[in-house]
Amino acid sequence: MSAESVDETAEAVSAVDNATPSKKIRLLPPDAPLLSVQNVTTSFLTPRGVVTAVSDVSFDLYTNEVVGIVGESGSGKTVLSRTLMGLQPKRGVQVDGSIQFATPFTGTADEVEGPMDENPLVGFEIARAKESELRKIWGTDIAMVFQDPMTSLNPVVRVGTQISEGLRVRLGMSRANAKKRAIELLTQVGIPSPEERYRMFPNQLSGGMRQRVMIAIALACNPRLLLADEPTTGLDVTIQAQILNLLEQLQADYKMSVILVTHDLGVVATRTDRIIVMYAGRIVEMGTTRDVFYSHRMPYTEALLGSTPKVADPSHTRLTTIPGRPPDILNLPQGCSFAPRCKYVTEKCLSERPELTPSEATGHFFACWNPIPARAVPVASPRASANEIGVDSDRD
Amino acid sequence: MGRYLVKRLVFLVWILLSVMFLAFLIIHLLPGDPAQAILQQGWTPQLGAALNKSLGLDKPLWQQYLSYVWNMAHLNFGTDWISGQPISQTLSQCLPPTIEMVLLSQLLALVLAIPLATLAALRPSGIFDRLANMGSFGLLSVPTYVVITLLYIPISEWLGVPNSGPASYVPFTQDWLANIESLSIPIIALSIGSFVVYFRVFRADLITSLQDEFITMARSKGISKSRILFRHAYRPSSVALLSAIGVNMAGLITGTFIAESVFQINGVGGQLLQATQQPDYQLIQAIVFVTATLIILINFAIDLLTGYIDPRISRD
Amino acid sequence: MKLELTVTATEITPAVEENERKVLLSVENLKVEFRRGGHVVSAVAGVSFDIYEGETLGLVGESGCGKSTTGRALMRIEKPTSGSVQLDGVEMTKMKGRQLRLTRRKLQMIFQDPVSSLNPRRRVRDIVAEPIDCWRAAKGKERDDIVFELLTKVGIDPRVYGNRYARQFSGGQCQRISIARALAMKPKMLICDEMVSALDVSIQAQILNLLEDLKKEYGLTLLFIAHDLAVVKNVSDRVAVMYLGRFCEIGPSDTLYAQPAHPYTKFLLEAALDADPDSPRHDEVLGGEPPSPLNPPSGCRFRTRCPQATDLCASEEPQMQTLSEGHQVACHFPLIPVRR
Repeated sequence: MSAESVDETAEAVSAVDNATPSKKIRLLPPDAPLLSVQNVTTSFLTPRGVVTAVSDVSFDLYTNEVVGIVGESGSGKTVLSRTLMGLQPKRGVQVDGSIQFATPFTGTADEVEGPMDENPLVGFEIARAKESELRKIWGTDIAMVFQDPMTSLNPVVRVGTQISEGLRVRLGMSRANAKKRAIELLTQVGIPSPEERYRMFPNQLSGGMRQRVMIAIALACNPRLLLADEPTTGLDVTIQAQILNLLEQLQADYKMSVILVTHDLGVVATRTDRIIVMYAGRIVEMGTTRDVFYSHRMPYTEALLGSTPKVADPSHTRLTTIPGRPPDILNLPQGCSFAPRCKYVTEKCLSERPELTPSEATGHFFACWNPIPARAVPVASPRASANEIGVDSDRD
Repeated sequence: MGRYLVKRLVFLVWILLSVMFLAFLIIHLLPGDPAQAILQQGWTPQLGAALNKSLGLDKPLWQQYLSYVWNMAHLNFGTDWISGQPISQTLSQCLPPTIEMVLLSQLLALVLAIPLATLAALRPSGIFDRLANMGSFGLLSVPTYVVITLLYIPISEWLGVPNSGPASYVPFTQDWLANIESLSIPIIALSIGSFVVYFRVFRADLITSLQDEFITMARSKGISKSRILFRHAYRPSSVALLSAIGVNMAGLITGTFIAESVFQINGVGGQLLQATQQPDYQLIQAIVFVTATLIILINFAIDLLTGYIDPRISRD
Repeated sequence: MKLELTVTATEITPAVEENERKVLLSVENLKVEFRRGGHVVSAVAGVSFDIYEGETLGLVGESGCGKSTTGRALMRIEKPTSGSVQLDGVEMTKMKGRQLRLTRRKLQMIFQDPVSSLNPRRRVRDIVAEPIDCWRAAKGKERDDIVFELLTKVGIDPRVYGNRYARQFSGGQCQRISIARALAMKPKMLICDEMVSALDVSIQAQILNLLEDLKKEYGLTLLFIAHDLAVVKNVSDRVAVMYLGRFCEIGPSDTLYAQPAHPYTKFLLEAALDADPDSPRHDEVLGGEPPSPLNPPSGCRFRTRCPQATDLCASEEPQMQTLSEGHQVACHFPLIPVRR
């Protein structure tokens, strides 16, 4: 019953928005973030009560930026990525807060409040949009690479059809043109003999090939934001390296923004501009990749790094472990969610939840009462900085 | 697909041969002289000898089997020694109404089940889904013949078909409208049981398919709801439905038998019953062979269709 | 820096000791073949190695390389097609029935999926006691004491959790219970097949540390099979690299990781991603995918993807040759010179 009342309120809100076409549209400044996430909370209305999987998440994502979202299972990273995309079902799921996606304004000057820019942008509110409205931006503006290509590709539809479908339906391409473009895409994602593969079914391809097909589908309509949810989990190391290099190269070619969701710190270490660390549904630390790795303030980030074995470390290196296990989101502790496992825990941590507070470095935030002192971040090696050309990592 | 087709064909031939062999055994496993079994009360030593000669029952068993296989393959069933009629003539009278009833009732069941199951699956445990589920469960728990008896008069009035007595069967070639009219009520009655099964199977599979990750992926491409349903959800959901149809075929033969006796139609079921009561082993043998072959062929077609719909089955 | 690493490595495992150490498990030319629709797939195509008492041998490779099949063949879960496996000098491949079961007590296996390898409807106590009951090794209080001790050792409080059912536990806890069960019959050797792959990083670290502690305490010998190069290096004294049913290279972990001799090992290591923003980036990644084991390439199995392959690689199969003490490679053109 509560599910339906939520549904109705959500619809009522969007109805108000739509019912006033006379209201002038407010344009976004030209340097506005591509995606602006404000206080997003995602709750599932289950028979056992409300389960909040993502709580109060806020961050901005800029054009051409690659952001990694890192967390263990149950951290809410996958729920968050689906919420950002607007893919959560309307029934039984409640999304609060605002997810504003900057879309190009295509209307006329008199619909606009104030002067028109050369490239005017308007905010598309994903959190409250109906599925029929979301369909207008899915694929063409915002696309997703799913975790397991075995289950997320339709097993009974030919690979080629799955790629060209978006081209035909969304871009109105003819059958022949869509096929031509799909084969081009297959070539682009590094699939040998693409004409042959075009006619194949997903089960006839290897895991790596299937993930390449997933990427081709996501890229088909030239999105401006790509959400990749554990794109390499379950793939072999050499295939993982191939796929990550491919994503990096395509990000540059297509000038996309990318959100890379993963549990693997190795995946985000060298391929992201910024990192968001999540724990029990909340952001616990956020900053440039180098800040998070070298000057993390949050004990959880430290513990996560310490428990990850490295190829560069000598064998039998003792790993730092975090006692206990990730909390049950049905039953979160009162204060800091990490407090029961934290070695720096104090009374305050158990009773009061720390909010995200800015660190010394620009754009670096952490949620902790007893943070680790800030340290000097080593200068990036020339090779690493070469990868960051064209990306302004100081933006907040 | 080619290899799959060959595999299925080999299987088809093998199973047809097995059916032939089993049908052959019907007469030869009976105690005593086969001629005695065939002629029953009409048996006299002279008639028996004549029959043995004409049917080749005096020859060695393997020769009999070969000539039997040869005859069956040519649909040459011989003459019934009890009625004196050629068996093929009896079959050509009783087969058409039964086949028509089976096919049309299946068509009707599917035409109703698929859209209703879709409506139910789009909102699982919504009001329509709950009602449809309850209704189908109710129909499932009531035997078909009870439904027939209860619905006979209202349905015939609604269709405008005479309900005073049993409808007389009009061959399709004679007058197709009258033909369908004469079979309409048995067809509706037969379709009920199948409808319930198909509705439930398809609804359940569609609900599972719609929760699959590839549906979310298809949504994320921004394609319409109907396209997702028809292009992405229907195909993977119809595999179980197809196998349900295949399994249902065998059961339908008993189903037609009830309908045939209620509506007094001279179909295969009724004919088989008569032959069993006599007993007329030659006719039993022929009917068993023909119906089994039909069921096998339909299942073969369903196998091919399943292989086409789900490439995971036909391609390795 | 890498050179220093090698030096420390040789200090940890002195060459002299190598010869004195006792071989616990000796595998000679092991082959495992499967029949699939008239074709023969050779999952393991002739591997030979020794495992010394008290050491951990890591076995890495990508999916389908035969590493898991090797482990399963040692346990005789999979029947070896040919070759010899000797445990403590006793030939295992020809064993049958009771003799095999008796020998299997010395070898225990821990599987990847901890949740499905435990019966969800049994109590933790009974799961751990199962091998003891099965062999009637102990009864009454003695049995209960053993179970109590084992559960305490793996970090599951028997007073709190002993009577709970396996289904009530998380993946990491189930893996702890699996370890306790495997240790119940005091095995000499554990075969761990991807035992931490399904776990979260923080839990994985707990299990890896636990394994190191138990190994010391019980004097265990380990065969650690995994695809994660960092995890394998962390626990192993020596590492073997497998590709398409064959060993490419085997050597002391630190030496092998610092100076890979086989091109495949080098590519594999370069593809591994460390949680370090300044870890070296390699543009040249290994292209393509492993060929089908139904139809393996002639000669060296890696030659179809190897950038330095020559005609010799296609015609002649490379044999294992020694580079330094304990470091062997099967390559015609190893990346570091062969010791003559």
